[in-house]
Amino acid sequence: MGHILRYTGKKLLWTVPILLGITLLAFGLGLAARGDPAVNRASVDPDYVPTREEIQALREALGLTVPAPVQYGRWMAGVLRGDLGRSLMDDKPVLGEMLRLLPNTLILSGMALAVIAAAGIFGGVLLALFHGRFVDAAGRAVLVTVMSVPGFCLAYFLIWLFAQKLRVLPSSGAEGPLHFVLPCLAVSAASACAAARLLRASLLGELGRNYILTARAKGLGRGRLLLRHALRNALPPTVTHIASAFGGLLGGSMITEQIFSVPGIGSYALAAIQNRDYTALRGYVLFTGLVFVLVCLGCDLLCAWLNPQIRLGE
Amino acid sequence: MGLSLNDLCVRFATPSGEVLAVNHATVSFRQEEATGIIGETGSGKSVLGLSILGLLPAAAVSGRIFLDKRELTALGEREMCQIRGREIALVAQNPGTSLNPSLRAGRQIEEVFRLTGAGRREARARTLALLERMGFSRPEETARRYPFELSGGMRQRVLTAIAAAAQPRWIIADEPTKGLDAVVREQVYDTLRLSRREGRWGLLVITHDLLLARKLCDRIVVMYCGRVVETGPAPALFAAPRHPYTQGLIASLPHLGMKPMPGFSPAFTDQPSGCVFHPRCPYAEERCRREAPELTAAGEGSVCCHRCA
Amino acid sequence: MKKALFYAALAVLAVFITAGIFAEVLAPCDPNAVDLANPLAAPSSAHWLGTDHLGRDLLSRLIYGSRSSVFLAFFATGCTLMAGSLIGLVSGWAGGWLDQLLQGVVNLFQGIPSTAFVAAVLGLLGPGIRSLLIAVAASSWAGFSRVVRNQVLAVRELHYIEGARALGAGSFSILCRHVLPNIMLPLLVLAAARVGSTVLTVAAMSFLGLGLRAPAADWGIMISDAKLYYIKDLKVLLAPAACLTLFCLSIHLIADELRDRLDGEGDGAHML
Repeated sequence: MGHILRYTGKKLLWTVPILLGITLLAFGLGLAARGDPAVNRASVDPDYVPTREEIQALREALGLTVPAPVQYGRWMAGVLRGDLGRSLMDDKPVLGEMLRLLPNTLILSGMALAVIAAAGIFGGVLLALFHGRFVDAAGRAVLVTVMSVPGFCLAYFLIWLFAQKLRVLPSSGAEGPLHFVLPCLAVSAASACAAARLLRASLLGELGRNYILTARAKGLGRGRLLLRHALRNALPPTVTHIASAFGGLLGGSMITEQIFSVPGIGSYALAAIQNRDYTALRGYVLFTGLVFVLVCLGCDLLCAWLNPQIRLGE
Repeated sequence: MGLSLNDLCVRFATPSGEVLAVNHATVSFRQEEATGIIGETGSGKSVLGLSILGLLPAAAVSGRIFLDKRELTALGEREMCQIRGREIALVAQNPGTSLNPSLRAGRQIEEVFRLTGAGRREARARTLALLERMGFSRPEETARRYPFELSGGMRQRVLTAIAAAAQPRWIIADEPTKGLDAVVREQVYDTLRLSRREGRWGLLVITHDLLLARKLCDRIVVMYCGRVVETGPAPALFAAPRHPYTQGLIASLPHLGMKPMPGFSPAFTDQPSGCVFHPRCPYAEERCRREAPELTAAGEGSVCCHRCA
Repeated sequence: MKKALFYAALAVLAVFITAGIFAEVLAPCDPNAVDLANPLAAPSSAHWLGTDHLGRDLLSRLIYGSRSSVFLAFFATGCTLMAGSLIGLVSGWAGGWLDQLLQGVVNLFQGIPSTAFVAAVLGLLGPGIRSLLIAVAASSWAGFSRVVRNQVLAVRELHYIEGARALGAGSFSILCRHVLPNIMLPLLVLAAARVGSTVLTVAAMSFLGLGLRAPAADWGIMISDAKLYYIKDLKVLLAPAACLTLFCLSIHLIADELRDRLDGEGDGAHML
């Protein structure tokens, strides 16, 4: 127990510089933005041409006249207080808006993550079990093909098939669980296939190791051999893959949420990008980075649980 | 009665052609004896051991293997699972990698008891008892350890415990001393002798360590290039080896002058005609180059050499 | 069988590249010639694949599209490879605090979800090819850098480098002679995989309106155009989607084969 605590502590400590790096990156993105945010802000109403004085006043109000490090300091002070600033689009607090939209994105990404993990592990084990036979060859062909279909094309095909032709599932909105089925399938298919392929390869690699010979000589059947002995050792690369796929889900939600009209963090970020709303964008990058760092931390801990050598080693 | 191999061949396809890792081996082992299979690395002895357990791809193995009256080579995978562990067990080579790195040592032994139908608690108790008999002074603690937390000698004993757990009728120990230092080798020897006392199983020690074989075994089978070249009772074989290869092996032992044998084992893909040993044999004649000798009875054993026929 | 697939994939890739280079010659029509009288036409002898919602020839747009999509993907991957390798070389060869710092940055960039990052960079820089290249390179250089750095470190440990140093070989010649040959294959494997993901990223960005802008003939834009009309006529979606899928599929197959050559397929299958 002491070991796992120490390991967790060490990993937690490591996230601090990474989080700091993410804040720098998020802030830097705003600095690199093309155009003057004050001009953008002042020209929200297309019929009104702002005067130079008005823009200058806005610039001061937004704190753009001070040097960049000071701006960063102010922004960070706000971040630590839980204040990500106000959106340049509608003047609403960025954090509040994101928290309001978060549940939809989280449900979607969480469901997709579950699908990726379940389908990936099941598929990988199944293919390894049938290695060298027709099921394996056919399965791999399907996996590599599905992996190659771009998520946003798949999304439209799913809508065409299930919402338009079969009329069994809704194609847009976020009113009930059924609304999440198609978006979830669209974002998880490619990653699930990649996970299954990866797990199959690591399982076959594990099966060549000496300890498998010992286990077979005990009289274990193939099922137990795979599930009890090989799987645990083969899982860590797949777990890491799934964690990074979660990053893809967060980013991909921008596209999926637009296609399926789900109000979530992704659509918020897309609107922020289109409006060059750098305050909202900074908030989004920071927020996504934080969530992703947490997921990676979880992944590290899971790998440590699976592999005692990581947990107990220095 | 016992374990017998009848014209056993093991073929592997390699990029440079098909290879006969075991070449028409006909030999039998008696359960009340410890038999040592000796030979240089690559003589096919480990493959022979694995083929008895049915751990090689079925297509690679031809010939027949009998356990008492049952023909193992005729059994399906499911039936072989019943044989493995319970009737014939394996102490795998290379203790460093032969235990599952992510399961506790105790779990890996318990698993065998569970397979034979014991409940969780019973398996646990029997594991601890077995570890204690295997010479672990604190079995509880050892059972909790992961393999990488154990020393080489301890891992070897855990592996032996796994093999001994189901009280099999045969144990095949594959290169139990390969790559171990002198102290650990001594421990392994003690462990195997201990395991002999533990149960009345037949022991098949596959090794290139002649000293281990001499100390531990009642009978010796010498292999060269996948062929059985000589068999016989250990004392007689070490005192008066018949086959020139056996003579060379014994002469190369440290306390007998450490005279190395000239030449190397030929590659499996490029074997000489006639007797495979003739390029290295000090007594080779024209006939040896032309004609392969048969394994023929000689004294209490058998030998595969034109000179002794 | 595997070999056959690999060569088939190479052939498909060659077809796309040829189509891109000789688009002017191969395309039957002007990809941007609007024919409002003939929207969403079925395949005919004049338009082999039919027309889109503005009556533009689908096949011609696909052919010109492979120029923009495929070339952009290769070019962006090339830029990323250069930038990443350079940073990796510096990091591995310099060592010390610089290496530590760069590794920290690499970890950071490897962690960042790439779609989100590319979209953010593009949004701030504005659409266009230059922005796309910068965004793609900025989001995916870290993987290359890591491969190169590890290889440089591994090579530095080898004894023959010590020997070469003792013989007075300069750092640069050591790099060229010993490091480059060792990293070619791993880099190629990574680059092959990257081309596939880059073509998808670029298409996704164009689809979102952040990459290339309509009316450019580009697969991502074609899909974006199709989203209002595919219910009526699936082929406007199917055609560019099929091209993207086929391209990625062949890239995957090629990358797989290269990877197998790199580390050999996991043995032990007979254990089941």
